[in-house]
Parts: sequence; structure tokens; C-alpha cells
Amino acid sequence: MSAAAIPAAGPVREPWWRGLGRFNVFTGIVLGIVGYVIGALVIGHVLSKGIPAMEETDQNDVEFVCGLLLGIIGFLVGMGFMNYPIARLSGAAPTLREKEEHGIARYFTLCTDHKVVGIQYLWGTLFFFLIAGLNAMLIRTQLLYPTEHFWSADNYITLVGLHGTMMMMMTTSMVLGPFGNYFVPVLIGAKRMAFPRIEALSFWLVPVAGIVLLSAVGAKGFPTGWTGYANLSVQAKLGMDCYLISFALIGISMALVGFNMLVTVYTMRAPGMTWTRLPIFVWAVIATAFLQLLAAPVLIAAMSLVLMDRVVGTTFFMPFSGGSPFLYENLFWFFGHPEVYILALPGFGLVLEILPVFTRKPLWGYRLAVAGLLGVALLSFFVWQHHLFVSGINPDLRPFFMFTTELISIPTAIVFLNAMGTLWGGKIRFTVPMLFALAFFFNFFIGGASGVFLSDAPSDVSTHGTFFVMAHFHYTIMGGLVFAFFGGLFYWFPKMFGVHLNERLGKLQFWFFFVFFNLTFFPLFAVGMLGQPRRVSAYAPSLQWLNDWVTASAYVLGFSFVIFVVNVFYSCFWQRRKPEPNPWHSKGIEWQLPTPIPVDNFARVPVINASPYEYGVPDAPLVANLNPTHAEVVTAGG
Amino acid sequence: MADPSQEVAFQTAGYEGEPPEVMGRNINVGVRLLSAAMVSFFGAFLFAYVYLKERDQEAVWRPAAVKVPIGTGVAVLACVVVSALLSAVAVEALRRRGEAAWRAPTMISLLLIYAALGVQCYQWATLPFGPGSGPYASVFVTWTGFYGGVALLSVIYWIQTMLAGSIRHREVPPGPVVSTAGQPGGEGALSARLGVEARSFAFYWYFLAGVQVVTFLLLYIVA
Repeated sequence: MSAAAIPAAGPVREPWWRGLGRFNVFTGIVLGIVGYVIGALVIGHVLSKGIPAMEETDQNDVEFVCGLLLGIIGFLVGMGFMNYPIARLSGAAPTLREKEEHGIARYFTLCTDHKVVGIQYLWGTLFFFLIAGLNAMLIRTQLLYPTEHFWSADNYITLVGLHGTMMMMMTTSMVLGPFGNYFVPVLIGAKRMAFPRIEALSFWLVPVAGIVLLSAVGAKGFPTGWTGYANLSVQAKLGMDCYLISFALIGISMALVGFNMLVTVYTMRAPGMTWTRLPIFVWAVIATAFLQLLAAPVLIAAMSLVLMDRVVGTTFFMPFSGGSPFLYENLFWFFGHPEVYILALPGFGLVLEILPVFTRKPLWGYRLAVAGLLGVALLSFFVWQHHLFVSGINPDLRPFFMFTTELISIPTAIVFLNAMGTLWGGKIRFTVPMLFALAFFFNFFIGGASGVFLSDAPSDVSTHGTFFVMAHFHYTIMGGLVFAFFGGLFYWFPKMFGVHLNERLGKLQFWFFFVFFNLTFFPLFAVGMLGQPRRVSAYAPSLQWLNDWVTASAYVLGFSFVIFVVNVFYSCFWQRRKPEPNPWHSKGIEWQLPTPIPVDNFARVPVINASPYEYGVPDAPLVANLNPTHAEVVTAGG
Repeated sequence: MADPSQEVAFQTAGYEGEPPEVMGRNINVGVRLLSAAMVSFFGAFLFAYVYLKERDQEAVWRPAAVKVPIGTGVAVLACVVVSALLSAVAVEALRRRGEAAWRAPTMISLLLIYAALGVQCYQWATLPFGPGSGPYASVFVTWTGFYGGVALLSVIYWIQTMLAGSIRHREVPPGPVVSTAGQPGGEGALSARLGVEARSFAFYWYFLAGVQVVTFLLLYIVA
């Protein structure tokens, strides 16, 4: 019998229940609950003894916060995040990877494969996006009537806060999480992220933050909306602690993502991957990562200070003790405005990545686009005070912040120019990713143009705090980022999952989404101009017909997501159409690799020969040489 | 007993088939970015300090009863600064005389960090004011708390992992000596793993010691 005929010994399959005892999400949940109980009932109880504010009221923030913090630590211990640090403390050799599960189990464990983390991010953020979207439906249901009908004012404001906070938390990761983690190492010719365990940690903090935020519902909610303004936040019920801790966790996750992305792109590019050959999506990731690294720590600090006021009794935001609520506004918006660009820039990068593929033209003004992205990132740190125009800002400061805010439209317009230049004279293919990319620019233009009214102090005075602001930021974030996300998802789905999403259903989803997105949010500009305030469940009866219109449109908008879910199930389990190796005929390096991409991405470190946008260039070489000789590596600078 | 295959991986300083320079560059760049993030984080406390102090229209910034604990503050500062300087001495010793010479100053440096943390805890336990005794007290407690809880603990963890690795593997014969962070090898070339890590650590620790100097000036001297 030849050796080839001997059947290979496959892995011995264990009963599924044995896996429950290992470090995974199940163990994490169990230890998280144990941690919460110990934290709240033992440590918190001991620490809060003798504090009258905790003992004599029905609100013991010390116990609750100790419980949450220890619960989070317990979850991370159960996931196995402490194993490596403890091993290193005992002198163990450094390693890059964990011993990992295979099959579907790896999606529920600490996994150091960046592609698995990307997919974890994708479904994780979509799950919480769905919950936040359902919240939006509940909000709109309340607004069918001008007076309280379905929810009390308290419950309504908690719904608004949950929707806003969860959307801001999850959309932060919506592009960078799935596509950044999955594709950045591949696009730069690397085998991995720089710090794989930090990458895994950055993901697992996201669902923890989501759960902690949702638990606010059981802790009497929080009355501040997503901005968490002090000193209302200092005086609020226990649910506020959930908001503070969850947002701080997201801040940590964001900072870790930014840190990891920057190190990866800076140090792990393949030979020949010069800065001018980097895909534009990677440049957008760099710009975003800088913002995350520098802005998120301020968010963490701001959340910590409010928590200190609530739990330890400091007086940062209490005016009668020398504190100031404006301190919070400044700290929050120093993070909050860059946050807007943390959401927008990956979307820009994604659509600019898609356009050349479907116009069959090189990206117009590549270097200009890079300058635009970096310019937006830089300027975003100098505009935060426009959020305080009506809060009592020194009037002498207004012109400066009006100027910087309006200045940021220039680099943004440059990116638009790049897109229009790329479209000009192109052989446009109206595929689903292209439709989403085109809609991105339509929506973002409306969002950006309406932003001018908010950046001008005189017009901001009458529109601030109204539905006008809400329409504006939904046009930029949902109309921008979420459209870009779906464009990216349809574009890269065949590479990530080996399945081509159904084009017809995709187009149906797009048209429903695009039309009803505009029918939902465009009237809100008028509603805002007519004076309907945000975060208030009652409004003038004369505005009811407009609100009813918006609510009906919002329901259909929600239905468009159902089409997407149907498409995923139909394409993955019913149609099961195997995609061509390169269905879009893209020049991107990721399409040179097999599907699914192997664990190490490349058998050997590749050599990059050309930019990925040389469409229509005669004799343009393949972007990457996947099997280079030593001499080629040396020549490329490896 | 350590796994022999791990010993080999450890000594060749390669990380799972990658050239050692890759991880070296990652740590080098990473520590600088981490420091930038720390600037933002402690910058928020600095902003709170300046903002609340400057807006103190009712003269409640630091009531007379809130005495600055200058003695323990000087002790913490001294421990931190001397420890950071010792980490520089340790890197130089590693470069000139090898790993064994690096361990002694590093251990003393670690002990000094523990001492700083201990004095800091003592200070909190004996503070003559509470966190709610005005804005200065709030900033003081929070800033020193996060410095102790984030900065000092992160330094302790890093230095202990280096020391533990070095001690556990001290019997292993020296492996190939390579350059640090892409610099050509030659006179005084370091073992790749420890060399890069020790230099990166020293950078991080100088930076945090600088933060402590600023903290001292603002919280204890300007107050």
C-alpha cells in the first residue's frame, strides 16, 4: 500500500460540550456574571460603607460600578485575554498567535487571525446596528402623535439616548472594524496585524460595551442623549453609569484600533509598497487611526471624570463646588467632532477605492485625495467649539471657530473633486457597490451643505438643538458611512465569504434604502426649521403631518434592511453562486489571492510592482508579485 | 522547565519565522504612538486643571484647609525620576556588558517604581482633604490616581516581563546577536529581543517621568 493511499489522520472531534470549559465567549459570560456579583455585592458593598449618599438612598453607584468593572474583567479573563500577559510575567517567550480553534468556534474565542476579527466585527456591529435601528423605529412610532402616546417622556429620552449612543459606538467600528481589520494587512502585503492580541481585544470590547449600554434599560435609563452632558449626567440614575462605562470601553477599543493600524501600516508594508502605492482606503485608515489615537483618550478621560463625580464625589462639573459643566462640553466635543470624521473618513476611502474599479479609470488626483483626507483629519481638531456656540462660549472666539469649521469644507471638497474626476469619461458599470458609492456623494453633499448653516453662529442659534441638526448628521453619517459600508460589503463579500450576493436583490435594497432614506431625513430639515426640538417627545400639532410622513418613510427604510438580510440568506444558503476569482475585474492585490484567503495571507512576502489603480494603462503589471525571487525582494527594498 | 523549542525561538529572537527586526520596529513605533495617546489622556486632566483654576471666580479652587502634601509628592517624584534614569543606565549596561549587567539597575529601577506606588498609596490614605474639597482636590485625586493606576502599573508590568524573561532564560547560551531596530550590528550590538524592548521601555519611562515632573510642578508647586 502506497503512502499516498494511507488516509491522513484527521483531527479527533470532541463532543461540543467539552469546548464550553475552554476560554471562549461562554466561559467569558459565566465569569462576567461571577465578576459582577463579587464586584457589586462584596467589593462595592465594602467600599460604599460609610458613604451617606450611597447608604441612605436607593442608588448605590459604588456597588453598581464595581460590579460592572469586575464583570468586564471577568469576561475578559474568561475569553483568555489574561493568559498571555500572565505567562509573560512568568518569563514565557513572546509569541504572536494563540492556540486557536477551527471552524465556527474561532468566531467565539480570542482569535489572532485578522480576517476572523474582521468577520467578528462585521456581524457584531451589524447586530448592535440592528438593535439601534429598532430603537429608531420606536422613537419614530412615538412621534406619530404630537403628545405622549406610547412611551413616557423618561422612557422616550432613554430610547433616544440608547439609539444615539449605540449608533455612534457601533458606526465607529462599522468600516474600520470589518474592512480595516480584514483588508488592511492584505492590501499592504503583510501577513498579519502588528499586534494580533490587541486587535482581538479591540473587537471583544465592542460587544461588552454594547451589552453594558443595553443594561442601562434595566437601571432606570439615562436622560442625556448620546452626548451625556454634565451636570445632568452627574445627577442621573444608575443607567448613566452604563453609558459612561460603555462609552469609555469604546474609547479604549478605538484607541487600540488606531494604534494597531498605524503601527501595521508604518512597519509591515511589503517591499515595493511605497507610500504613493498605498491603496486610498489604507490612506483613509491612516487618517482615521490618527484621529482615533489622539481623540479617543480624551473621551476616556471625560467619561472617567463624570464617573469620578458620580462615584468618588469629586466636583469637576458641579458649579456650586467650583466645577463647570462647560468643562465637560469642551472635553466631550474635543473628542466628538473628530469622531464625526472618524465616521466619515473610512467611508471616503472606501468609495474612492470602489470608483476606479467600476469606471475602469485610474483614481483621479491620487495625491490630492491623500492630502484631502489628511487635511480633514488635521482640521477636525480645531473646530470643536462650534458645538458650544449657543452654550455661552466667549463671543470673541466664535469667528475663529466659524472660520476653521468652514475651512474643513475645502479638503472635503477635494475628495469630491477626486470622485468627480474619476467618474468623468469613465466606462461606468452600475453595479450594486457602485450605486452605493454614487449615493454616498449625493447624500454627503446634502449633509455637508446643511452643515454650513450650523457652522455659522448666527444661523446656528436658530437651528441648534432642533431636528435640523438631526437631519444634518444623519445625512453625513447614515447617508455617508452606512452607504459606504454597504458599498464595501457588496464589493468585498465575494472575497470574504466566497459568495456573490444577489445583484437584483442588492439593487432592490439600494433603491428602497436610497429613496426612503431621503424621504425620511430630508423633511426633517423643514421640521427643524419650523422649530421642533430634538429629544422631546411632544411637538406642535401643526407638525404632525410632516412627522407622520417621516415615520412612514422610516418604516420602509427599516424594511430595506430586511431585504439585505434576505439577500444574505438567499445568496449564502439558497443560490450559493460561487463567484469568479475576480468578479469585478479589480486590480487590487486582494483579488490576486485565493478565496478564502489563507491564514497567513501570502505564502511568501510579496513584492509590490505597481499602484492598484492603473486601469486602462497598457501593459500595466500585476500589482503584486506573489512569488518573488530574493533578488526581486532586495531590488524592491525588502 | 521551559519548553526547549521555545528556548530556541526566544534566543534566535525571531517571532514565528519573521525577522526579529519586524517586532523590533513594531515595538519602537508602537511605544511612540502609545506616548502620543498618553499625551491626549493626561492632556484632558491638564485642561481640567487650567480651565477650573482660571474660572475660579468664587475663590473655591483650593480652600485654605486643602494643604498640598508636598513631602510625599517629592518622594514620589524622586522615585520616578531616579527609576527612569536607572533605566537609561540599564540600557547602556546592556549595550556595553550584556544582559547580566542590565539586570541589576533594572531591578533597582523596578523597586523604585514600587516605592513610588507605595508612597502614592500612603499619600492617598493620609490626605488631609477629600476628593470633594473643591476643584483642586478633585483634579489632584483624579490625576494622581490615573497616573498611579495607568502609568505606573503599565511600567511595572513591562519591566517585570522583561526581567522575568531574562532571568528565566539566563542559562541558555547566547544566540545570534543581531542589530537593533534596523541599525547595523557591530560594536555593542544588543540581543535583538531584549535590546529593542529595553530601549523602547526606556523611551516610554522617560516620557512618563516627564509627565510626573509636569504633574509635580502643577499639583504641588503652582497648585
